[in-house]
Amino acid sequence: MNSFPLQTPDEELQAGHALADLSEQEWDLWHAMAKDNGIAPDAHLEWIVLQLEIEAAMNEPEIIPASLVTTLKEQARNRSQQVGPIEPTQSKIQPRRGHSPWWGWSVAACLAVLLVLQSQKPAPGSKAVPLELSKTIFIQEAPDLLRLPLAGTTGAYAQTQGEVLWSDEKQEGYLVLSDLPANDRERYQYQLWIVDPLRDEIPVDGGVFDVTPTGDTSVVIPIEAKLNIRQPQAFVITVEQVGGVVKSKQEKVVGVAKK
Amino acid sequence: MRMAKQHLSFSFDRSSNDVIKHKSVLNAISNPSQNQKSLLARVANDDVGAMEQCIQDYSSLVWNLVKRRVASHAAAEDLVQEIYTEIWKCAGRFDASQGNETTFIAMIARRRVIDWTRKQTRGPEWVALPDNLDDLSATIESPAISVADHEAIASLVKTLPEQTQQLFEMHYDRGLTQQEIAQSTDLPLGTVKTLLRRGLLEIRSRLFRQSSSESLTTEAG
Repeated sequence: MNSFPLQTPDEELQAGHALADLSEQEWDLWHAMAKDNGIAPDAHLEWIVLQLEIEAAMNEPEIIPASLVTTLKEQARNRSQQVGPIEPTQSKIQPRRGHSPWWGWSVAACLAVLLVLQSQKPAPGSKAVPLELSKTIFIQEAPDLLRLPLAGTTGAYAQTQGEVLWSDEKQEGYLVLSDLPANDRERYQYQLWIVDPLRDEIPVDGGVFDVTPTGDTSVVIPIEAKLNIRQPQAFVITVEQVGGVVKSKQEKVVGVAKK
Repeated sequence: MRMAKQHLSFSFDRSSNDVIKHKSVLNAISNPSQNQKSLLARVANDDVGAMEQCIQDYSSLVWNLVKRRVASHAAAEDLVQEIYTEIWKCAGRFDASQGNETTFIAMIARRRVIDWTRKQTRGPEWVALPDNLDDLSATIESPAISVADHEAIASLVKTLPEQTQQLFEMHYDRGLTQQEIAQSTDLPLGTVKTLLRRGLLEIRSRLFRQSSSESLTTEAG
């Protein structure tokens, strides 16, 4: 019979997370603790479960179908000859549309446009070319593009809307914001925060920015993460003193985008 | 097809400043490919030979990791293809000093499978493991755990109380879900869940205790 000492609720949650068996109620608790206490997955437990699954998989008698191995090798050979990632064939998970004869030409045209864009490729957020162009190139190139809708909070920011574009692989991203009121840069600035519990319980500084009264309703802001981001769970814009702060008190939150 | 089964040999030396060094992680003798340490590095360079070797060595492991959670044969085939596409993309992130290729590939596969399962069930969001082994080991304070391989962990399961061992055996070796275990054993589902969780925590405790012992030599395989 089980003779282990009783575990704390935190440990039970950590173990459940590693075993991927948390109930919805436990997930709510997990998210609350992640928000309030910065709880993050226990790497030891995750590692142990991974090793248990490896051990079990290695002892499975089932053999991978030979036809699938052949397909994988064909895809590997194709990859070495192709530009860009290869798609799984006959995907049931992400069904591919039927390709017309024009499909190849369309791909070629897109590649040509991409090559032209690449020849003009600026450094992320470079002022030498419009941010809109940087953003367009980024969207085309990012292999793991994350798009999160951003919503304003209340008061002057109630109408604010936008989208966060981010790539963990490229460590690059953009904010596309509309109806964010211009700030008085002598008094305060906007600051972006990236919430990444796997990285740290404290949000990472994503850069300070201004919105000037140009008459444009939409602005593009490059994200300037000060630390390497792993798996961002949310992006938060706050109002801070000029120059920004190291740690936000989040007294005035402008907008939030979260997974 | 022969599955990549690494027999790892660990030797720890805690004589200097409490730092545990593992002297030999990968035992090349039993490795399926002669150039194991550099396989993923060559894959990252789109070396077709290395990619085919990677398929030869690890596709059965990936397949079985997928099939443990995905009943549909067609969906499993699609997932394996997606996983290999991700392996090709992520191979450059592999750092041999942080762990072995089996764990790196299995981690990618497991993340994909759980993500797929979550989407099918529309269940709660599952926060995936860190992106690569470097990230993972950076959060692990005890080297004894970061180098403890699947066989070392499996041997620790055998030291748990009999009932917990049986549940682990049913869950991992026989691939039963917690619900199926509950039905098979007549235990309430909550009890099955709790026993598995506490067993997992106990394995972690025992690994910690091992790492704090004066010297430790583990032979696995």
